Amino acid sequence: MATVTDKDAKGPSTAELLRVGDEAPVEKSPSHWSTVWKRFQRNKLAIYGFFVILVVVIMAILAPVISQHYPTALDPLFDKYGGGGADEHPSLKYPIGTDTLGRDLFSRIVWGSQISLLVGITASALSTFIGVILGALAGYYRGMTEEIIMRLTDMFLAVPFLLIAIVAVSFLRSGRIEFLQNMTHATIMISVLGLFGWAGLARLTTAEVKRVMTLEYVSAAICLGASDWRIISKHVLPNILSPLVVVTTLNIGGNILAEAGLTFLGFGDPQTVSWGRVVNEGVINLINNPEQVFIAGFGIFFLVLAFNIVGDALNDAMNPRLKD
Amino acid sequence: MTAESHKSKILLELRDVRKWFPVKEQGFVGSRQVANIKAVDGVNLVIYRGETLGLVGESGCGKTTTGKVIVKLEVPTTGQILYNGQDIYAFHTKEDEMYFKRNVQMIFQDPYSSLNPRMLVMDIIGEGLDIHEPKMSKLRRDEKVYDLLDKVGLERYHAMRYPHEFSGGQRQRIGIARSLSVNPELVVADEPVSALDVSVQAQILNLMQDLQKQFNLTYIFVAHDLSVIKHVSDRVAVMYLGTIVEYGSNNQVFTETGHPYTVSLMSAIPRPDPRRKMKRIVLPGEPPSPINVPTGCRFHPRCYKSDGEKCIKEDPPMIELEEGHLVKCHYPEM
Repeated sequence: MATVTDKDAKGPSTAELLRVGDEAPVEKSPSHWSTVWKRFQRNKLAIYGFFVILVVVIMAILAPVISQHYPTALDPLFDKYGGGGADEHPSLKYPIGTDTLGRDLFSRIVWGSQISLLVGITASALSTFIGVILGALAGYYRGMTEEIIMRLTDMFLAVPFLLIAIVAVSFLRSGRIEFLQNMTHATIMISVLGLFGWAGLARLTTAEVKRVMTLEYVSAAICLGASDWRIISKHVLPNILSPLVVVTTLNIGGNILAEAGLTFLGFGDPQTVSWGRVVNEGVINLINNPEQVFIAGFGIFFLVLAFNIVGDALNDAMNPRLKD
Repeated sequence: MTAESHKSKILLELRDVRKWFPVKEQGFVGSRQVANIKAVDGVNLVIYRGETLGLVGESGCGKTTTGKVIVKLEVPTTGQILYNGQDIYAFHTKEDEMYFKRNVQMIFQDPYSSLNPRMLVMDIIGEGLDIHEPKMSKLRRDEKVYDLLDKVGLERYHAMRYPHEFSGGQRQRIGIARSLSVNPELVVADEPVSALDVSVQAQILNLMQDLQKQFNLTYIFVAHDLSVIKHVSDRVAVMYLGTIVEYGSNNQVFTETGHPYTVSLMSAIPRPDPRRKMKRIVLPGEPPSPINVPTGCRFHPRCYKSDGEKCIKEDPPMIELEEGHLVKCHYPEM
């Protein structure tokens, strides 16, 4: 059988071959954020930083499971055989020892991570929220709005943060104002750090919004009759997200440090367990029990370092000039 | 065609439009205005339905600003712009405003900054529909986007891509599709091909001409490239330092050139004919700053015909050389 038809001889026509391109699967191409994640993963140091944060987050969430004792219980295992009491060195009973009041340090560290993360993340979120809203308003509407917001920003940048924080914390805790009496340590820290930390972000946002507003795709949206809200939410904010994410991540580290610092200085609630408080209480035993200070201190150090590394790596990963 | 029969076909009219940008000096308290950049300084133009008006001039002569004033991206300092006889800066209702925005669109110069890098091509092209026809079903909107992609010579699957995956020419096609999504009457094309390779320029120009027929578009084509203008325009307006110095049909401006400035521009067009004797007129100096506009005729410091007296003192009026051919010069050619 050798009746070769015309079609067989020619094989697929050029047009047919070209059609392959047409029928390529209609698939969404990788979005910006998936490329960022891919580039981020290539950064080994960033993965370590990410890992540290992940460990602390898991520790904070699973605190009741991981720690055997309540963090404020005095020598919880005192009737069991083998060591115990106050200022105990690391032992089988208490893996990293006990503090001056005989409380299990391991439990205190585990529970303390909750406050560090909670304050760090929530305070940063609060200042980002305020900063982005004010910055977007200033950068979009310009004129008088910008002038007022920028002068307010200048004021907040000139405020001596530590002094204000100390005054604010002691004022809030003094109980002069009724409804503030019930504020917990964490709430106070979050509001003080959040309300005084937005100025830099507002400036950054203003500058970035003004930059994006000069680009032609914003002009095109204006030509199409887009509303202010549509322009800000669809065209401006998505394009300035990268620097905002970076700064917010770096802010988390800063806020964890600030919370630890303020607690170390003795502000906040003595009932609340936090890493800053563990350091504060360990200072008097620095010579006999240095581990009391160092373990909590290094906990703060590595967590803040991790956030800074991750922030830096995000900055690199989101740099539009670095294309794979 | 007579001027009378043109009257009814007028789509857009610019009446003595000026756009001055204030130059401010930062003082100790606030700032004060020290001068004005006269980007557009008294432009009168008429655009007829269905034509292509080429607006040509050196960089910095205000042609882009003129385009932006027409689409309401800049507010003119003085003057009126009438669209279908209605002042576009005095709309009473939001509907009128939206009607105008629907019917007057712009194609932008830089294909790299004119598309939002965070949006899918589908959403970039569909945005006009989202704004003007919010009730349209998702399915019909997508169908419309695919249809537009097809019309500008792109494929369906391109809709699910991001702008950075396209070349300059393809991006410009996306920009064109976006401006056509709302079915406009008038499209202001602000140097749509000057950022592209020459081979791609031709494709885009031809595409724009095809679309003009399909969509019954009127173009205002802003460019600095005379050969491009000659190729696409029905009528041409030559701008110099914020004013229109010559204005007429393509043929009138290119073959019966009247203004010395246009003559010198023409002499700079390279012609692929080695035997042709070229008489190049090189203009001395740079265009003057639009802050300090020369007295009298704006072109006199660089003009080879300047008499050194009348030209310095008197601003020349628009002289009608022939039907529809206007020249702003004391001593026009011919």
